Amino acid sequence: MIEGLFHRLPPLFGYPLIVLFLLLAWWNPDLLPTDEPLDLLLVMDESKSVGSQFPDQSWQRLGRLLADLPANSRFSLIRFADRPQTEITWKPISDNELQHQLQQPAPPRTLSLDNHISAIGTALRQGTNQLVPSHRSAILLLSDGRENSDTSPPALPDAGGNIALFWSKPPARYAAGHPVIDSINLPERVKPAMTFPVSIAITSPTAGEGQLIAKLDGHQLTEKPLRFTAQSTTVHHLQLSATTAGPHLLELTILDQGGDPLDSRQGYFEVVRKHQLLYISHQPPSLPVQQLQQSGWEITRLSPRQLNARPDSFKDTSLVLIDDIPADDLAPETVTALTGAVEQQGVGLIVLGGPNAFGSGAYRHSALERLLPVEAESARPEAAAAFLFLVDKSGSMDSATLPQSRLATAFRAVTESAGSLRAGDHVGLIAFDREIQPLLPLQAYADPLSTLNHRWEVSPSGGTRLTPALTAAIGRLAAAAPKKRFLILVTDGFVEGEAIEPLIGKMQAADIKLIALAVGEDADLSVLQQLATATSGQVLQVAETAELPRFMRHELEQQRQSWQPAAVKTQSVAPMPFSIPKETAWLPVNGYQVTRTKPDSTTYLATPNGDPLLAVRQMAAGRVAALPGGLLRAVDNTHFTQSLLAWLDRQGHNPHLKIDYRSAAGELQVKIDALDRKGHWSDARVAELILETPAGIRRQHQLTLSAPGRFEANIKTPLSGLYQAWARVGNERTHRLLQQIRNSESIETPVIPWLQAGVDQGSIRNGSKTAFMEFLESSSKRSPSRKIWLLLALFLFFSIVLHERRAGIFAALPQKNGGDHNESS
Amino acid sequence: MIGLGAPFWLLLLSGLPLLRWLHRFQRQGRIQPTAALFLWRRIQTEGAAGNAPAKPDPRWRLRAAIAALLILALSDPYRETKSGIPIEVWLDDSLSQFTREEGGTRLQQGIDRLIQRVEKERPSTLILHSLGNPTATRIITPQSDRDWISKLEQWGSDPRGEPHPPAPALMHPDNRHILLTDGADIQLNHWLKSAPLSEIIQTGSSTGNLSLTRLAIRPSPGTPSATQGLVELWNSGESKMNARLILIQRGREIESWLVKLPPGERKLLEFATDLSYPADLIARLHATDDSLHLDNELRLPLSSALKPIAVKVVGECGRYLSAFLQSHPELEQSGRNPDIFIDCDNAHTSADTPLLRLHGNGGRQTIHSQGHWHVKDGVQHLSIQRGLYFSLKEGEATSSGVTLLSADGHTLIRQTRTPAQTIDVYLDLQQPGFAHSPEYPLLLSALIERLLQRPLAESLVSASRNPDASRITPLSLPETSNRPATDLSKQQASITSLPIIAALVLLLIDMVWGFRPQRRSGG
Repeated sequence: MIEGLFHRLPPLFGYPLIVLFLLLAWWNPDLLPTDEPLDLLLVMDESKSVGSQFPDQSWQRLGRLLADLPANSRFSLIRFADRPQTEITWKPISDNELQHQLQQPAPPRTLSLDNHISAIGTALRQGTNQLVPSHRSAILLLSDGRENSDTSPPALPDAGGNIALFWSKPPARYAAGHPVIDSINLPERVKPAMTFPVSIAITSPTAGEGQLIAKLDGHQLTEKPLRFTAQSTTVHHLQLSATTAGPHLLELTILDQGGDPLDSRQGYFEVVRKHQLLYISHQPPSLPVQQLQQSGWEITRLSPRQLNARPDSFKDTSLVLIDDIPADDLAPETVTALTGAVEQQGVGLIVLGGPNAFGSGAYRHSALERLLPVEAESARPEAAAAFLFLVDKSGSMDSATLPQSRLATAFRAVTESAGSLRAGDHVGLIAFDREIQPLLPLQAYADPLSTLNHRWEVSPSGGTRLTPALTAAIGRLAAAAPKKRFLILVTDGFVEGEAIEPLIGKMQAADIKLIALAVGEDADLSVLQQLATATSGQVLQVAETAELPRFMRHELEQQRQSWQPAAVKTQSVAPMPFSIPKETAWLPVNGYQVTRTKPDSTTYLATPNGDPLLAVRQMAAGRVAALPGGLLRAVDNTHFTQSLLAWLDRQGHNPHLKIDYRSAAGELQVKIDALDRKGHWSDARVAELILETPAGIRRQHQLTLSAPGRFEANIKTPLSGLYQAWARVGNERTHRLLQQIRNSESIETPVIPWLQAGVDQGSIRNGSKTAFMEFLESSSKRSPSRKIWLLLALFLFFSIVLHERRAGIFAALPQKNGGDHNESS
Repeated sequence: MIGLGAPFWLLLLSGLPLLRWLHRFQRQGRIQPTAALFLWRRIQTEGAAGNAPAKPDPRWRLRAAIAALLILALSDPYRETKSGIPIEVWLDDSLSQFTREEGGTRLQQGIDRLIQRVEKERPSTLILHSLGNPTATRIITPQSDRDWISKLEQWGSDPRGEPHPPAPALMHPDNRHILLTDGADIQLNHWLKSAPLSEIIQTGSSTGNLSLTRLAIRPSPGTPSATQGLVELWNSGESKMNARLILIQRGREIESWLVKLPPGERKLLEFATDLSYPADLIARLHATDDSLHLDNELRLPLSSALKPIAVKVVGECGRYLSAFLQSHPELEQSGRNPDIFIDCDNAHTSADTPLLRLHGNGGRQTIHSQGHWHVKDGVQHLSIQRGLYFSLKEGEATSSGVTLLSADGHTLIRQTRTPAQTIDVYLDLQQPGFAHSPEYPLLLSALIERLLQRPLAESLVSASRNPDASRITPLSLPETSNRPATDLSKQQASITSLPIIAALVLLLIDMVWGFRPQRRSGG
């Protein structure tokens, strides 16, 4: 009975057990999760509003978090503020170097960041791009969520996906760990030595004391004790001044009681010198200097020679006045510096006429004339003249003992004198010694300047026979069509005994005027003097060979008679661009230089026959006025003089060209508005901008046209500080200082909405350790138990069958043995 | 199609003969009828020894079936299906996808091909993503939704912008990802190299496109009623294009050009127009071989853009403000549809219209130090000198928002969002000393500009189009070799439950069989 029960028990309990196993297999419950590795990416905000305390403390806790990660997990660190910097690339959490770094009180900070800017979107975008798609990954964002760089929101992971984004915010007490400079009010431009106010707003989370240090260009200016109250913003005022013209850097630093810096801010301002008049003349100033000085003008007088020795004189100048100076008195370097000062710095320029300026001062085709609103020749057609240059090429003109070849200088003088010639003038050139050598036939040339600007093949040799040369020259001139005829003779005066009397008659008959330039102090002038006197000409002794070109040019201009010595009435032809009393009476000028106004310039005052007496031109950033009659000397009107000078005073910018900009995170958004000379929007297609970084590196940028007269570009400027910009659109130029300021990323900066929306939608999770561990658990791969239950069921099933048949098997085994035994017996 | 996930478990089937062999032996407690008691021993010997019965217990078949079913369940049987796995479709709905070819747009052609694919595979879920607007997503269930085709077709009706592809890691690894594109966007093609895509449906072949990329007008500095304008064209195609460009205002053609443009070149054309009676200005391009028409028109809404800002004054704000509003060319007082409110009653709130509240009128607190601007843009050049009056009580009342100007620790101007942009001014703007200063109009202009977030004096009106969007030439796309190793095109739906249930049923039968009353063997 008991044995039967024993045999019945296994199937009795076995079958229900198998059914149970099969039901469990059908249900397939999960067993314990497997430890799938995790890629953990830490994205750490180190912008100003977060400070360093929260990242450091989070880093110190990170070791414990990593210790809980499954084996073979990896770790990476991105620090960010203005941009993301991958400080640690993927490393196994067991990596020795990583473990060593985790022991440190702060994360590795080998890559630089500008903590005044926060770009969370960019950092998250870089972070998600670093993840490996097939890996289980988590991004831990340590940030206060305040962003001031307008980055576009990145794609966020799905709430139930393989990637989780956790956001850990600093507690409120970490929002600002120390006093910070909230904002600085600083004027952009100040006058020299003028006291100007600076106000600084300082926000402090806690009460305490400190010190504010103000440094100007690296030198400490002042210090001020600070007393902070908790959770408040206080405004502090300073009175500063600077004397040197140009940009200045003001650096404000808060020190704690131990003298350690807590926060620092920089600001720039420019000291602009106004009413600095640089007076260039050979004579004492002819203007009412005292009155000008009383009205605030500081006048510095220099002779052309002194100016040439100090080419940086324009740096601190706001207005340059050139009073009756020949163009050649100013060295080419001086004129170049003057042009730069006018075009780029906006320095004003006045050129006063007199017997030695404009036409008489060889301004025609000179570099100085290119700046002026007038050209040094008449607007009215002039009768053509014939100029024959007769150059002595005898051996004495090329003496080996002389420092400079007289012959070469003579040809250079001829070339430079061509600047005084007009289109339609007849020009010829003959070299002579004992023989004559015609070099250029006497005839009209459309462009005498380029015709004479030629390298003449002449070999100096032999003695000087003046008579044949003069005879040939007179013959050619007499045959020329123009009625004004000039013979320009250059010789060193070693004239061998010749009879020149017959020539005098010929010259007088042909109305030829002789201009003789005798080179060298030992020149024999008697013969030349005789000729010149007879023809109402002139003989000039040029002691210094180098002076020859200037003498020749000056003498030709004199013969042109550009200087009109008679008194002439002054007439107003256009309203003045500045206000003057209506009753202003214009007195006559005592002589003026005949000029003509350039097409892009405006004449305000003129003679009755239309020759300009006051013409003005905007030359890029600066204004240039030409007064060919030296009007300021004649006008007994201090108000007019002061108004004109004030109007021409340094503009600082070109009214035709305006640079506007906005400082954004890591870039300057530059806009240029350009007008043409007629006051319409410029039709130029492109604007050029040269930008000099605070490090002194210059780079050229092209701004594209976005609207009539509007050019725009966003230029990457990673360095904060002062940038110098030179803009050019067509012929217009201007200059401006641009400040790439650090944006005031602070605890006032609002939390970016897409981050908060991500939290609301569940795609961003709370960055607590609990939430993190929940994710670890929930995202682990499940291990289904079905096979175990099936195997158990199968095993049990076979066991039952075996048990069921056990009796038969056991019975069969001995029987079989006994049977064999029986058969054998 | 049926398959096995772990076929090696089938090796256990080799144990079935053992089961049959076991059933050749008698089970415990089986009734063996015998004619006489002495014969019992012989029967037992015959049955258990070498003379075993030729046929095993017929129950072995049932049990073999149970064992076979369990072994089959261990082998992970599955049914291959293409319908179960969700398909995520990334639609490049940028401008170039609206190039018309063969009667339809490239996007329509791509969607048609996608519909064919979906009809064939019938996925459970189709998740549509716009690459132009990452926030635009739609889920379609083709198996249950009858209108899924029309929904799919409607999805690509308008361009949503240039592609902003997601980080590859954010694409669901268990789903199929299909990209619909014409391959004209270079950046998208870079993304293809790393995105886990299963398939790319590329459509489009034409290359000829002339586009209008900019239209702008600006009043002349000297004569504001006359404007200078410019229009920019770009041949983004690969062949020389001839076109006629016309400018239309008030329905009339006011200017036209015949343009010949070599491939890759831009052309700027200038024009002048009269703005005495501003009406919308339209630039339209007619080109014969142009495949993309959506970029052939630009419009300037001059009638609204050049309209002065409508200001509604609430309360008694004084004559200085009236004079300011009357003299400012860009502002006009209007009671209807104001662009901005100026409130001097301190009672007005606004849901969406910007609001400038002037609280300080009549304030008698004096500023003892120069005002400090806490913000930089637009206002910092304005000097607020000491000695001005402000309203202390009002200034202290509000604590939210951002302080723009403060002095002596008091807030003088504060900006809040309640919910519209609001600026509260506690400075007394009616005091003559300040109202007569140059700062007065500049301050009001700057505050209004800050509220409107645009400059008041800017009369430039322009419309532009990203030139890269008009690039329609398809590029050769990389192979989608970066998709996961497992072929996600087929989903394996487990059918393990079936053999388990079958085994359960058979097991119950076997159990019933085993526990039924014993019948006589052979009887």
